[in-house]
Amino acid sequence: MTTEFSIVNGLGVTAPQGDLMASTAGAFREQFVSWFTTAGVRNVVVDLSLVAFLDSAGLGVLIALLKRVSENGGDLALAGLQKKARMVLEITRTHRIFEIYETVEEATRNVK
Amino acid sequence: MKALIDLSASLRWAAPLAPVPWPLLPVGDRPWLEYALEACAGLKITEVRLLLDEGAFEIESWCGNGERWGLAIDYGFLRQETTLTAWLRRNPARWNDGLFVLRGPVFLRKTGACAMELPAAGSAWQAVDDDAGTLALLSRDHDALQRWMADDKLPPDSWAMPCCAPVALTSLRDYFALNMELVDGAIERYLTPGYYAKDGAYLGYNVQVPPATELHAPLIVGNDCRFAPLCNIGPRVAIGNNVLVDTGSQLRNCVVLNGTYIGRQLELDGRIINGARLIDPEDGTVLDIADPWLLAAVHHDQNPGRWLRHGLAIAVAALMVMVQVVPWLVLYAALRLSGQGCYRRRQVYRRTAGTASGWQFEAHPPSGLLPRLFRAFSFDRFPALLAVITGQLRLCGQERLWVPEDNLLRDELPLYSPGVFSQADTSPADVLAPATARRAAALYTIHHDSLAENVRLFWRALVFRFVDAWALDDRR
Repeated sequence: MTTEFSIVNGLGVTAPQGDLMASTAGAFREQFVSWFTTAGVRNVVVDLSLVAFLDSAGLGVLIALLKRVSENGGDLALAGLQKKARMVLEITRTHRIFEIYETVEEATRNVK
Repeated sequence: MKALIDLSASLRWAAPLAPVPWPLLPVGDRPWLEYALEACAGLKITEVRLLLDEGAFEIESWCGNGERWGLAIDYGFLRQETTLTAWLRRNPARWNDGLFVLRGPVFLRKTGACAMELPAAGSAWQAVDDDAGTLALLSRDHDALQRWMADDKLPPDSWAMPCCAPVALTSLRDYFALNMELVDGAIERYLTPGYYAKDGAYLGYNVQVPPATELHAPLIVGNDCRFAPLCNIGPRVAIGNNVLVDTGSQLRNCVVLNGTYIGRQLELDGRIINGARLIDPEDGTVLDIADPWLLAAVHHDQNPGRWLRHGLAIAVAALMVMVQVVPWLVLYAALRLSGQGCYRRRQVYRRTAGTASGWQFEAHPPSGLLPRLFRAFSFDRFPALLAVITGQLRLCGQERLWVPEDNLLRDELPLYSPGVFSQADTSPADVLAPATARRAAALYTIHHDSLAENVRLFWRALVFRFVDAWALDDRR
Protein backbone atom coordinates (compact mmCIF):
# COMPACT_ATOMS: atom_id res chain seq x y z
CA MET A 1 0.00 0.00 0.00
CA THR A 2 1.28 3.44 -0.87
CA THR A 3 0.19 6.54 0.99
CA GLU A 4 0.46 10.16 0.02
CA PHE A 5 0.66 12.91 2.63
CA SER A 6 0.15 16.60 2.01
CA ILE A 7 -0.79 19.78 3.82
CA VAL A 8 -3.53 21.95 2.33
CA ASN A 9 -4.19 25.31 4.04
CA GLY A 10 -2.80 23.96 7.31
CA LEU A 11 -4.93 20.83 7.08
CA GLY A 12 -3.25 17.44 6.82
CA VAL A 13 -4.49 15.25 3.97
CA THR A 14 -3.50 11.61 3.74
CA ALA A 15 -4.49 9.43 0.82
CA PRO A 16 -3.86 5.68 1.16
CA GLN A 17 -4.11 3.64 -2.01
CA GLY A 18 -5.19 -0.01 -2.18
CA ASP A 19 -7.13 -2.19 0.23
CA LEU A 20 -6.88 -1.24 3.91
CA MET A 21 -6.71 -4.72 5.40
CA ALA A 22 -4.88 -6.70 8.06
CA SER A 23 -1.86 -7.06 5.77
CA THR A 24 -1.56 -3.34 5.00
CA ALA A 25 -3.16 -1.51 7.93
CA GLY A 26 -0.11 -1.72 10.21
CA ALA A 27 2.18 -0.10 7.63
CA PHE A 28 -0.35 2.67 6.99
CA ARG A 29 -0.62 3.37 10.70
CA GLU A 30 3.16 3.58 11.13
CA GLN A 31 3.52 5.89 8.14
CA PHE A 32 0.72 8.09 9.41
CA VAL A 33 2.07 8.34 12.98
CA SER A 34 5.56 9.13 11.76
CA TRP A 35 4.20 11.85 9.42
CA PHE A 36 1.72 13.26 11.94
CA THR A 37 4.33 13.72 14.68
CA THR A 38 6.54 15.79 12.39
CA ALA A 39 4.01 17.57 10.15
CA GLY A 40 2.68 19.90 12.86
CA VAL A 41 -0.96 19.74 11.79
CA ARG A 42 -3.96 19.44 14.09
CA ASN A 43 -6.76 18.46 11.75
CA VAL A 44 -6.53 15.63 9.24
CA VAL A 45 -8.61 14.44 6.31
CA VAL A 46 -8.19 10.83 5.23
CA ASP A 47 -8.92 10.62 1.51
CA LEU A 48 -10.28 7.12 0.95
CA SER A 49 -11.18 7.58 -2.72
CA LEU A 50 -8.51 5.05 -3.72
CA VAL A 51 -9.39 2.51 -1.05
CA ALA A 52 -11.72 -0.12 -2.52
CA PHE A 53 -12.11 -2.23 0.61
CA LEU A 54 -11.32 -2.09 4.30
CA ASP A 55 -11.75 -4.79 6.91
CA SER A 56 -11.88 -4.80 10.69
CA ALA A 57 -8.11 -4.22 10.92
CA GLY A 58 -8.43 -1.22 8.59
CA LEU A 59 -11.29 0.13 10.65
CA GLY A 60 -9.22 -0.38 13.79
CA VAL A 61 -6.43 1.73 12.32
CA LEU A 62 -8.84 4.52 11.32
CA ILE A 63 -10.20 4.56 14.87
CA ALA A 64 -6.66 4.59 16.29
CA LEU A 65 -5.83 7.56 14.03
CA LEU A 66 -8.98 9.35 15.17
CA LYS A 67 -7.95 8.80 18.79
CA ARG A 68 -4.44 10.03 18.12
CA VAL A 69 -5.61 13.19 16.34
CA SER A 70 -8.27 13.88 18.99
CA GLU A 71 -5.68 13.60 21.76
CA ASN A 72 -3.81 16.43 20.04
CA GLY A 73 -6.98 18.52 20.07
CA GLY A 74 -7.75 18.06 16.39
CA ASP A 75 -10.39 16.44 14.21
CA LEU A 76 -10.12 13.60 11.73
CA ALA A 77 -12.54 13.38 8.83
CA LEU A 78 -12.98 10.84 6.07
CA ALA A 79 -13.58 11.83 2.47
CA GLY A 80 -14.23 10.26 -0.92
CA LEU A 81 -15.52 6.94 0.39
CA GLN A 82 -16.26 4.35 -2.28
CA LYS A 83 -19.52 2.44 -2.04
CA LYS A 84 -17.95 -0.78 -0.71
CA ALA A 85 -15.89 0.98 1.95
CA ARG A 86 -18.99 2.92 2.98
CA MET A 87 -20.92 -0.35 3.31
CA VAL A 88 -18.28 -1.67 5.72
CA LEU A 89 -18.44 1.53 7.78
CA GLU A 90 -22.23 1.31 7.88
CA ILE A 91 -22.50 -2.30 9.03
CA THR A 92 -19.91 -1.73 11.75
CA ARG A 93 -21.66 1.50 12.82
CA THR A 94 -18.35 3.37 12.60
CA HIS A 95 -19.91 5.87 10.18
CA ARG A 96 -21.41 7.45 13.28
CA ILE A 97 -18.09 8.27 14.92
CA PHE A 98 -16.39 9.83 11.90
CA GLU A 99 -17.16 13.03 10.07
CA ILE A 100 -17.66 11.85 6.50
CA TYR A 101 -17.59 14.08 3.41
CA GLU A 102 -18.15 13.30 -0.23
CA THR A 103 -14.93 14.91 -1.42
CA VAL A 104 -11.63 16.14 0.01
CA GLU A 105 -12.55 19.68 -1.07
CA GLU A 106 -15.76 19.54 0.94
CA ALA A 107 -13.84 18.17 3.90
CA THR A 108 -11.18 20.89 3.76
CA ARG A 109 -13.94 23.53 3.71
CA ASN A 110 -15.67 22.10 6.75
CA VAL A 111 -12.92 20.76 8.99
CA LYS A 112 -11.56 23.66 11.01
CA MET B 1 -52.68 -32.74 -17.16
CA LYS B 2 -48.93 -32.39 -16.79
CA ALA B 3 -46.52 -29.72 -15.65
CA LEU B 4 -43.23 -28.65 -17.13
CA ILE B 5 -40.90 -26.42 -15.15
CA ASP B 6 -37.95 -25.13 -17.12
CA LEU B 7 -35.08 -24.39 -14.73
CA SER B 8 -32.38 -24.26 -17.39
CA ALA B 9 -32.11 -20.46 -17.51
CA SER B 10 -28.85 -18.95 -16.37
CA LEU B 11 -29.62 -15.90 -14.24
CA ARG B 12 -26.82 -13.38 -14.12
CA TRP B 13 -28.50 -11.35 -11.39
CA ALA B 14 -28.58 -14.40 -9.11
CA ALA B 15 -24.84 -15.07 -9.43
CA PRO B 16 -23.97 -13.25 -6.15
CA LEU B 17 -26.34 -15.62 -4.34
CA ALA B 18 -24.26 -18.68 -5.35
CA PRO B 19 -23.58 -21.46 -4.56
CA VAL B 20 -27.32 -22.06 -4.23
CA PRO B 21 -28.84 -22.77 -7.67
CA TRP B 22 -31.48 -20.16 -8.38
CA PRO B 23 -34.47 -22.57 -8.21
CA LEU B 24 -33.49 -23.33 -4.62
CA LEU B 25 -33.01 -19.71 -3.56
CA PRO B 26 -35.04 -19.07 -0.44
CA VAL B 27 -38.15 -16.96 -0.82
CA GLY B 28 -39.65 -16.42 2.60
CA ASP B 29 -37.29 -19.13 3.87
CA ARG B 30 -38.57 -21.76 1.42
CA PRO B 31 -36.97 -22.57 -1.91
CA TRP B 32 -38.60 -20.86 -4.88
CA LEU B 33 -39.08 -24.27 -6.46
CA GLU B 34 -41.26 -25.42 -3.57
CA TYR B 35 -43.83 -22.74 -4.40
CA ALA B 36 -43.87 -23.92 -8.01
CA LEU B 37 -44.33 -27.56 -6.99
CA GLU B 38 -47.06 -26.64 -4.53
CA ALA B 39 -48.80 -24.75 -7.32
CA CYS B 40 -48.72 -27.97 -9.37
CA ALA B 41 -50.18 -29.89 -6.44
CA GLY B 42 -52.81 -27.15 -6.02
CA LEU B 43 -53.81 -27.58 -9.67
CA LYS B 44 -54.22 -31.33 -9.05
CA ILE B 45 -51.36 -32.07 -11.39
CA THR B 46 -49.46 -35.22 -10.51
CA GLU B 47 -46.86 -35.54 -13.27
CA VAL B 48 -44.12 -32.91 -13.29
CA ARG B 49 -41.08 -32.73 -15.51
CA LEU B 50 -38.18 -30.49 -14.41
CA LEU B 51 -35.77 -29.31 -17.09
CA LEU B 52 -32.39 -28.77 -15.46
CA ASP B 53 -29.02 -27.24 -16.17
CA GLU B 54 -26.71 -25.62 -13.63
CA GLY B 55 -27.16 -27.08 -10.15
CA ALA B 56 -28.93 -30.18 -11.49
CA PHE B 57 -27.49 -32.46 -8.82
CA GLU B 58 -28.59 -30.21 -5.93
CA ILE B 59 -32.07 -29.75 -7.38
CA GLU B 60 -32.57 -33.45 -7.97
CA SER B 61 -31.29 -34.27 -4.48
CA TRP B 62 -33.68 -31.78 -2.95
CA CYS B 63 -36.80 -32.73 -4.94
CA GLY B 64 -36.30 -36.48 -5.05
CA ASN B 65 -39.22 -38.22 -6.72
CA GLY B 66 -41.69 -35.57 -5.54
CA GLU B 67 -43.48 -37.90 -3.16
CA ARG B 68 -43.71 -35.34 -0.37
CA TRP B 69 -45.89 -33.08 -2.54
CA GLY B 70 -47.89 -35.99 -3.92
CA LEU B 71 -46.19 -35.52 -7.29
CA ALA B 72 -44.27 -37.80 -9.61
CA ILE B 73 -41.26 -35.76 -10.67
CA ASP B 74 -38.93 -36.73 -13.45
CA TYR B 75 -36.03 -34.83 -14.91
CA GLY B 76 -34.65 -33.81 -18.24
CA PHE B 77 -32.14 -31.42 -19.78
CA LEU B 78 -32.73 -28.73 -22.32
CA ARG B 79 -29.84 -28.17 -24.67
CA GLN B 80 -28.95 -24.52 -25.08
CA GLU B 81 -29.73 -24.53 -28.78
CA THR B 82 -33.13 -26.14 -28.22
CA THR B 83 -36.21 -24.04 -27.54
CA LEU B 84 -38.84 -25.14 -25.09
CA THR B 85 -41.42 -25.61 -27.83
CA ALA B 86 -38.99 -27.66 -29.90
CA TRP B 87 -38.45 -29.86 -26.86
CA LEU B 88 -42.22 -30.25 -26.39
CA ARG B 89 -42.70 -31.10 -30.08
CA ARG B 90 -40.59 -34.23 -29.63
CA ASN B 91 -43.62 -35.90 -28.08
CA PRO B 92 -46.64 -33.65 -28.73
CA ALA B 93 -49.24 -36.27 -27.86
CA ARG B 94 -47.95 -36.39 -24.31
CA TRP B 95 -49.42 -32.95 -23.59
CA ASN B 96 -52.88 -33.66 -24.99
CA ASP B 97 -54.49 -33.59 -21.54
CA GLY B 98 -53.31 -30.09 -20.89
CA LEU B 99 -50.10 -28.43 -19.77
CA PHE B 100 -48.85 -26.11 -17.07
CA VAL B 101 -45.54 -24.49 -17.99
CA LEU B 102 -43.26 -22.32 -15.90
CA ARG B 103 -40.12 -21.11 -17.62
CA GLY B 104 -37.51 -19.18 -15.67
CA PRO B 105 -37.96 -17.51 -12.28
CA VAL B 106 -41.70 -16.88 -12.29
CA PHE B 107 -43.31 -16.58 -8.89
CA LEU B 108 -47.04 -17.27 -8.71
CA ARG B 109 -48.06 -14.47 -6.41
CA LYS B 110 -51.27 -15.09 -4.53
CA THR B 111 -53.30 -11.99 -3.88
CA GLY B 112 -55.82 -13.73 -1.68
CA ALA B 113 -56.49 -16.93 0.17
CA CYS B 114 -58.24 -18.81 -2.62
CA ALA B 115 -57.53 -22.11 -4.33
CA MET B 116 -55.70 -22.53 -7.62
CA GLU B 117 -58.03 -22.86 -10.60
CA LEU B 118 -57.80 -24.23 -14.10
CA PRO B 119 -58.95 -22.32 -17.17
CA ALA B 120 -62.18 -23.40 -18.80
CA ALA B 121 -61.91 -26.10 -21.42
CA GLY B 122 -60.91 -24.61 -24.74
CA SER B 123 -59.10 -21.63 -23.28
CA ALA B 124 -55.53 -20.89 -22.20
CA TRP B 125 -53.92 -18.51 -19.75
CA GLN B 126 -50.48 -17.24 -20.40
CA ALA B 127 -48.16 -14.54 -19.08
CA VAL B 128 -44.96 -13.84 -20.99
CA ASP B 129 -42.08 -11.54 -20.15
CA ASP B 130 -39.80 -11.54 -23.18
CA ASP B 131 -37.21 -9.31 -21.52
CA ALA B 132 -36.88 -11.63 -18.57
CA GLY B 133 -37.33 -14.75 -20.70
CA THR B 134 -40.08 -16.03 -18.43
CA LEU B 135 -43.34 -17.72 -19.23
CA ALA B 136 -46.30 -19.02 -17.29
CA LEU B 137 -48.78 -21.03 -19.32
CA LEU B 138 -51.79 -23.01 -18.22
CA SER B 139 -54.06 -24.64 -20.75
CA ARG B 140 -56.37 -27.57 -21.24
CA ASP B 141 -56.94 -26.57 -24.83
CA HIS B 142 -55.27 -29.13 -27.06
CA ASP B 143 -55.49 -26.95 -30.19
CA ALA B 144 -53.99 -23.89 -28.49
CA LEU B 145 -51.10 -25.98 -27.19
CA GLN B 146 -50.46 -27.54 -30.57
CA ARG B 147 -50.47 -24.09 -32.22
CA TRP B 148 -47.99 -22.79 -29.66
CA MET B 149 -45.72 -25.80 -30.09
CA ALA B 150 -45.90 -25.46 -33.88
CA ASP B 151 -44.99 -21.79 -34.31
CA ASP B 152 -43.58 -20.86 -30.87
CA LYS B 153 -45.87 -17.83 -30.69
CA LEU B 154 -48.30 -17.06 -27.96
CA PRO B 155 -51.22 -14.65 -28.07
CA PRO B 156 -50.96 -11.60 -25.79
CA ASP B 157 -51.06 -12.01 -22.03
CA SER B 158 -54.30 -13.52 -20.90
CA TRP B 159 -53.61 -14.76 -17.40
CA ALA B 160 -56.94 -14.67 -15.62
CA MET B 161 -56.63 -16.91 -12.59
CA PRO B 162 -58.34 -15.16 -9.69
CA CYS B 163 -56.10 -14.42 -6.68
CA CYS B 164 -52.93 -15.61 -8.44
CA ALA B 165 -50.70 -13.73 -10.85
CA PRO B 166 -47.30 -14.70 -12.23
CA VAL B 167 -44.47 -12.30 -11.39
CA ALA B 168 -41.09 -12.50 -13.10
CA LEU B 169 -38.04 -12.05 -10.90
CA THR B 170 -35.57 -10.07 -12.95
CA SER B 171 -33.16 -8.58 -10.45
CA LEU B 172 -31.82 -8.74 -6.93
CA ARG B 173 -34.19 -5.90 -6.15
CA ASP B 174 -37.19 -8.03 -7.21
CA TYR B 175 -35.89 -10.96 -5.20
CA PHE B 176 -35.41 -8.83 -2.11
CA ALA B 177 -38.80 -7.14 -2.49
CA LEU B 178 -40.56 -10.50 -2.81
CA ASN B 179 -38.92 -11.74 0.37
CA MET B 180 -39.97 -8.61 2.21
CA GLU B 181 -43.51 -9.01 0.91
CA LEU B 182 -43.68 -12.53 2.30
CA VAL B 183 -42.17 -11.49 5.61
CA ASP B 184 -44.74 -8.72 5.85
CA GLY B 185 -47.49 -11.31 5.96
CA ALA B 186 -48.05 -12.65 2.46
CA ILE B 187 -46.42 -15.94 3.54
CA GLU B 188 -49.70 -16.90 5.22
CA ARG B 189 -51.29 -17.43 1.81
CA TYR B 190 -48.74 -20.09 0.94
CA LEU B 191 -48.65 -22.08 4.16
CA THR B 192 -50.64 -25.10 5.11
CA PRO B 193 -53.31 -24.17 7.68
CA GLY B 194 -51.90 -24.75 11.13
CA TYR B 195 -48.54 -23.15 10.33
CA TYR B 196 -49.97 -19.67 10.48
CA ALA B 197 -48.40 -17.60 13.24
CA LYS B 198 -50.70 -14.86 14.34
CA ASP B 199 -48.02 -12.46 15.52
CA GLY B 200 -46.12 -12.63 12.22
CA ALA B 201 -43.07 -14.37 13.70
CA TYR B 202 -42.15 -17.69 12.10
CA LEU B 203 -39.41 -19.59 13.90
CA GLY B 204 -37.95 -22.87 12.67
CA TYR B 205 -36.73 -25.81 14.70
CA ASN B 206 -33.81 -25.57 17.09
CA VAL B 207 -33.61 -21.79 17.23
CA GLN B 208 -31.79 -20.52 20.31
CA VAL B 209 -32.74 -17.05 21.49
CA PRO B 210 -31.26 -15.89 24.80
CA PRO B 211 -33.44 -13.72 27.03
CA ALA B 212 -31.38 -10.59 26.33
CA THR B 213 -32.05 -10.79 22.59
CA GLU B 214 -35.14 -9.17 21.11
CA LEU B 215 -37.05 -10.46 18.11
CA HIS B 216 -39.40 -7.99 16.45
CA ALA B 217 -42.13 -9.26 14.15
CA PRO B 218 -42.64 -9.57 11.30
CA LEU B 219 -39.78 -11.95 10.76
CA ILE B 220 -38.97 -15.45 9.54
CA VAL B 221 -36.19 -17.51 11.08
CA GLY B 222 -35.13 -20.88 9.67
CA ASN B 223 -33.89 -24.01 11.43
CA ASP B 224 -30.77 -24.40 13.57
CA CYS B 225 -30.14 -20.70 14.14
CA ARG B 226 -28.33 -19.20 17.13
CA PHE B 227 -28.57 -15.68 18.42
CA ALA B 228 -26.03 -14.40 20.95
CA PRO B 229 -27.20 -12.05 23.72
CA LEU B 230 -28.15 -8.41 23.10
CA CYS B 231 -29.11 -8.90 19.47
CA ASN B 232 -31.96 -6.93 17.98
CA ILE B 233 -33.57 -8.88 15.15
CA GLY B 234 -36.35 -7.46 13.01
CA PRO B 235 -38.67 -6.17 11.94
CA ARG B 236 -38.76 -7.44 8.34
CA VAL B 237 -36.03 -10.03 8.42
CA ALA B 238 -35.92 -13.38 6.60
CA ILE B 239 -33.19 -15.58 8.05
CA GLY B 240 -32.31 -18.95 6.52
CA ASN B 241 -31.03 -22.13 8.17
CA ASN B 242 -27.76 -22.49 10.12
CA VAL B 243 -27.32 -18.79 10.75
CA LEU B 244 -25.29 -17.49 13.68
CA VAL B 245 -25.70 -13.90 14.86
CA ASP B 246 -23.10 -12.74 17.35
CA THR B 247 -23.46 -10.44 20.33
CA GLY B 248 -25.11 -7.08 19.98
CA SER B 249 -25.86 -7.15 16.27
CA GLN B 250 -28.94 -5.53 14.76
CA LEU B 251 -30.76 -6.74 11.66
CA ARG B 252 -33.61 -4.91 9.94
CA ASN B 253 -35.05 -5.30 6.45
CA CYS B 254 -32.60 -8.06 5.60
CA VAL B 255 -32.51 -11.38 3.84
CA VAL B 256 -29.90 -13.69 5.35
CA LEU B 257 -29.16 -16.82 3.34
CA ASN B 258 -28.34 -20.23 4.77
CA GLY B 259 -25.01 -20.81 6.50
CA THR B 260 -24.09 -17.26 7.43
CA TYR B 261 -22.19 -15.95 10.44
CA ILE B 262 -22.82 -12.31 11.39
CA GLY B 263 -20.14 -10.87 13.65
CA ARG B 264 -20.42 -8.80 16.79
CA GLN B 265 -22.00 -5.38 17.03
CA LEU B 266 -22.91 -5.16 13.37
CA GLU B 267 -25.85 -3.22 12.02
CA LEU B 268 -27.42 -4.53 8.84
CA ASP B 269 -30.29 -2.73 7.21
CA GLY B 270 -31.69 -3.25 3.71
CA ARG B 271 -29.13 -5.85 2.68
CA ILE B 272 -28.89 -9.43 1.46
CA ILE B 273 -26.24 -11.40 3.33
CA ASN B 274 -24.91 -14.58 1.77
CA GLY B 275 -22.07 -16.02 3.84
CA ALA B 276 -19.22 -13.52 3.68
CA ARG B 277 -20.97 -11.60 0.93
CA LEU B 278 -22.87 -8.39 1.53
CA ILE B 279 -25.22 -7.32 -1.23
CA ASP B 280 -27.07 -4.08 -1.73
CA PRO B 281 -30.23 -5.16 -3.58
CA GLU B 282 -30.96 -1.62 -4.75
CA ASP B 283 -27.97 -1.22 -7.03
CA GLY B 284 -26.56 -4.76 -6.99
CA THR B 285 -23.30 -3.80 -5.28
CA VAL B 286 -21.60 -6.96 -4.03
CA LEU B 287 -19.01 -6.77 -1.30
CA ASP B 288 -17.02 -9.89 -0.46
CA ILE B 289 -15.83 -9.35 3.08
CA ALA B 290 -12.66 -11.32 3.61
CA ASP B 291 -12.81 -10.81 7.35
CA PRO B 292 -14.33 -13.52 9.56
CA TRP B 293 -14.73 -10.99 12.37
CA LEU B 294 -17.46 -9.32 10.34
CA LEU B 295 -19.19 -11.85 8.08
CA ALA B 296 -18.34 -15.43 7.25
CA ALA B 297 -19.81 -18.54 5.70
CA VAL B 298 -20.71 -21.29 8.14
CA HIS B 299 -19.60 -24.63 6.80
CA HIS B 300 -22.24 -27.17 7.63
CA ASP B 301 -20.82 -30.06 5.72
CA GLN B 302 -22.03 -33.38 7.04
CA ASN B 303 -20.80 -35.37 4.08
CA PRO B 304 -18.25 -37.87 5.52
CA GLY B 305 -16.84 -38.57 2.04
CA ARG B 306 -15.91 -34.93 1.65
CA TRP B 307 -14.20 -34.83 5.05
CA LEU B 308 -12.26 -37.97 4.16
CA ARG B 309 -11.17 -36.31 0.91
CA HIS B 310 -10.01 -33.17 2.68
CA GLY B 311 -8.17 -35.21 5.31
CA LEU B 312 -6.38 -37.26 2.66
CA ALA B 313 -5.47 -34.13 0.72
CA ILE B 314 -3.93 -32.52 3.80
CA ALA B 315 -1.99 -35.72 4.57
CA VAL B 316 -0.65 -35.92 1.00
CA ALA B 317 0.26 -32.21 1.04
CA ALA B 318 2.09 -32.63 4.36
CA LEU B 319 3.98 -35.62 2.98
CA MET B 320 4.95 -33.68 -0.14
CA VAL B 321 6.15 -30.75 1.98
CA MET B 322 8.34 -33.06 4.08
CA VAL B 323 9.83 -34.72 1.01
CA GLN B 324 10.29 -31.47 -0.94
CA VAL B 325 11.53 -29.05 1.71
CA VAL B 326 15.28 -29.76 1.44
CA PRO B 327 15.55 -30.03 -2.38
CA TRP B 328 13.24 -27.01 -2.68
CA LEU B 329 15.53 -24.92 -0.48
CA VAL B 330 18.63 -25.97 -2.44
CA LEU B 331 17.08 -25.48 -5.87
CA TYR B 332 15.42 -22.19 -5.00
CA ALA B 333 18.65 -20.81 -3.58
CA ALA B 334 20.37 -21.83 -6.83
CA LEU B 335 17.62 -20.18 -8.89
CA ARG B 336 17.87 -16.93 -6.96
CA LEU B 337 21.66 -16.85 -7.08
CA SER B 338 21.68 -17.49 -10.83
CA GLY B 339 18.83 -15.03 -11.38
CA GLN B 340 16.79 -17.61 -13.27
CA GLY B 341 13.63 -17.46 -11.22
CA CYS B 342 11.88 -16.16 -8.18
CA TYR B 343 8.47 -16.01 -6.56
CA ARG B 344 6.39 -12.92 -7.13
CA ARG B 345 3.78 -11.86 -4.60
CA ARG B 346 0.44 -11.25 -6.28
CA GLN B 347 -3.21 -10.88 -5.38
CA VAL B 348 -5.14 -14.11 -5.85
CA TYR B 349 -8.82 -14.85 -5.33
CA ARG B 350 -9.53 -16.62 -2.07
CA ARG B 351 -11.69 -19.71 -1.79
CA THR B 352 -14.19 -18.06 0.52
CA ALA B 353 -14.37 -14.43 -0.52
CA GLY B 354 -12.18 -11.52 -1.49
CA THR B 355 -8.52 -11.67 -2.38
CA ALA B 356 -5.29 -12.51 -0.60
CA SER B 357 -1.61 -12.50 -1.34
CA GLY B 358 -0.30 -15.52 -3.18
CA TRP B 359 3.09 -16.54 -4.52
CA GLN B 360 3.52 -17.13 -8.24
CA PHE B 361 6.76 -18.55 -9.58
CA GLU B 362 8.37 -16.82 -12.53
CA ALA B 363 11.33 -18.23 -14.42
CA HIS B 364 13.62 -16.31 -16.76
CA PRO B 365 13.99 -18.07 -19.10
CA PRO B 366 11.53 -20.95 -18.45
CA SER B 367 13.57 -23.31 -20.60
CA GLY B 368 16.71 -23.10 -18.43
CA LEU B 369 17.83 -26.27 -16.70
CA LEU B 370 17.10 -25.10 -13.16
CA PRO B 371 13.59 -23.72 -13.91
CA ARG B 372 12.76 -26.91 -15.77
CA LEU B 373 13.89 -29.01 -12.83
CA PHE B 374 11.90 -26.76 -10.51
CA ARG B 375 8.76 -27.24 -12.55
CA ALA B 376 9.31 -30.92 -13.34
CA PHE B 377 9.15 -31.84 -9.66
CA SER B 378 6.44 -29.26 -8.92
CA PHE B 379 8.69 -27.37 -6.52
CA ASP B 380 7.12 -24.17 -7.87
CA ARG B 381 3.93 -25.16 -6.01
CA PHE B 382 5.69 -25.55 -2.65
CA PRO B 383 4.15 -22.41 -1.03
CA ALA B 384 0.73 -23.53 -2.27
CA LEU B 385 1.18 -26.91 -0.56
CA LEU B 386 1.61 -25.06 2.73
CA ALA B 387 -1.72 -23.34 2.04
CA VAL B 388 -3.36 -26.77 1.70
CA ILE B 389 -2.21 -27.69 5.20
CA THR B 390 -3.68 -24.46 6.59
CA GLY B 391 -6.97 -25.11 4.78
CA GLN B 392 -6.75 -22.14 2.42
CA LEU B 393 -6.37 -24.24 -0.72
CA ARG B 394 -7.33 -27.69 -1.88
CA LEU B 395 -4.80 -30.13 -3.24
CA CYS B 396 -6.85 -30.71 -6.40
CA GLY B 397 -9.38 -28.15 -7.47
CA GLN B 398 -9.96 -25.35 -9.89
CA GLU B 399 -7.18 -23.31 -11.41
CA ARG B 400 -6.12 -20.45 -9.14
CA LEU B 401 -7.41 -17.12 -10.42
CA TRP B 402 -5.24 -14.04 -10.22
CA VAL B 403 -6.13 -10.39 -9.95
CA PRO B 404 -6.74 -8.58 -12.26
CA GLU B 405 -6.39 -10.79 -15.36
CA ASP B 406 -8.90 -13.38 -14.16
CA ASN B 407 -11.57 -10.97 -12.82
CA LEU B 408 -14.00 -11.82 -15.60
CA LEU B 409 -13.62 -15.57 -15.18
CA ARG B 410 -14.09 -15.28 -11.42
CA ASP B 411 -17.35 -13.39 -11.95
CA GLU B 412 -18.61 -16.13 -14.23
CA LEU B 413 -17.96 -19.03 -11.87
CA PRO B 414 -20.83 -19.95 -9.56
CA LEU B 415 -18.41 -21.85 -7.31
CA TYR B 416 -14.72 -21.30 -6.81
CA SER B 417 -12.63 -23.87 -5.02
CA PRO B 418 -9.00 -23.45 -6.09
CA GLY B 419 -6.40 -26.17 -5.76
CA VAL B 420 -2.64 -26.57 -6.03
CA PHE B 421 -3.22 -28.83 -9.03
CA SER B 422 -5.96 -28.30 -11.56
CA GLN B 423 -7.09 -29.28 -15.03
CA ALA B 424 -4.80 -26.52 -16.33
CA ASP B 425 -1.82 -28.62 -15.22
CA THR B 426 -2.75 -31.30 -17.68
CA SER B 427 -2.19 -29.05 -20.69
CA PRO B 428 1.07 -27.48 -21.94
CA ALA B 429 2.28 -24.63 -19.74
CA ASP B 430 3.24 -22.28 -22.55
CA VAL B 431 0.01 -22.66 -24.49
CA LEU B 432 -2.52 -20.16 -23.26
CA ALA B 433 -5.90 -21.85 -23.04
CA PRO B 434 -8.81 -19.80 -24.40
CA ALA B 435 -11.18 -18.33 -21.83
CA THR B 436 -13.96 -20.74 -22.78
CA ALA B 437 -11.68 -23.75 -22.23
CA ARG B 438 -10.62 -22.42 -18.83
CA ARG B 439 -14.24 -21.81 -17.86
CA ALA B 440 -15.20 -25.29 -19.04
CA ALA B 441 -12.34 -26.83 -17.03
CA ALA B 442 -13.39 -24.90 -13.91
CA LEU B 443 -17.01 -25.97 -14.28
CA TYR B 444 -15.96 -29.57 -14.98
CA THR B 445 -14.07 -29.59 -11.68
CA ILE B 446 -17.16 -28.38 -9.80
CA HIS B 447 -19.36 -31.07 -11.28
CA HIS B 448 -16.86 -33.94 -11.01
CA ASP B 449 -15.64 -33.45 -7.49
CA SER B 450 -14.93 -36.90 -6.09
CA LEU B 451 -12.08 -38.81 -4.49
CA ALA B 452 -11.47 -40.86 -7.64
CA GLU B 453 -11.48 -37.73 -9.82
CA ASN B 454 -9.07 -35.95 -7.47
CA VAL B 455 -6.67 -38.91 -7.43
CA ARG B 456 -6.79 -39.06 -11.23
CA LEU B 457 -6.16 -35.32 -11.54
CA PHE B 458 -3.33 -35.40 -8.98
CA TRP B 459 -1.33 -38.11 -10.76
CA ARG B 460 -2.04 -36.75 -14.22
CA ALA B 461 -0.88 -33.29 -13.12
CA LEU B 462 2.33 -34.59 -11.53
CA VAL B 463 3.23 -36.72 -14.54
CA PHE B 464 2.21 -34.14 -17.13
CA ARG B 465 4.12 -31.34 -15.41
CA PHE B 466 7.22 -33.56 -15.31
CA VAL B 467 6.99 -34.38 -19.00
CA ASP B 468 5.96 -30.88 -20.05
CA ALA B 469 8.89 -29.26 -18.23
CA TRP B 470 11.36 -31.03 -20.51
CA ALA B 471 9.32 -30.30 -23.61
CA LEU B 472 9.19 -26.57 -22.97
CA ASP B 473 12.20 -25.47 -24.99
CA ASP B 474 11.36 -27.89 -27.82
CA ARG B 475 8.20 -25.97 -28.54
CA ARG B 476 9.75 -22.53 -28.32
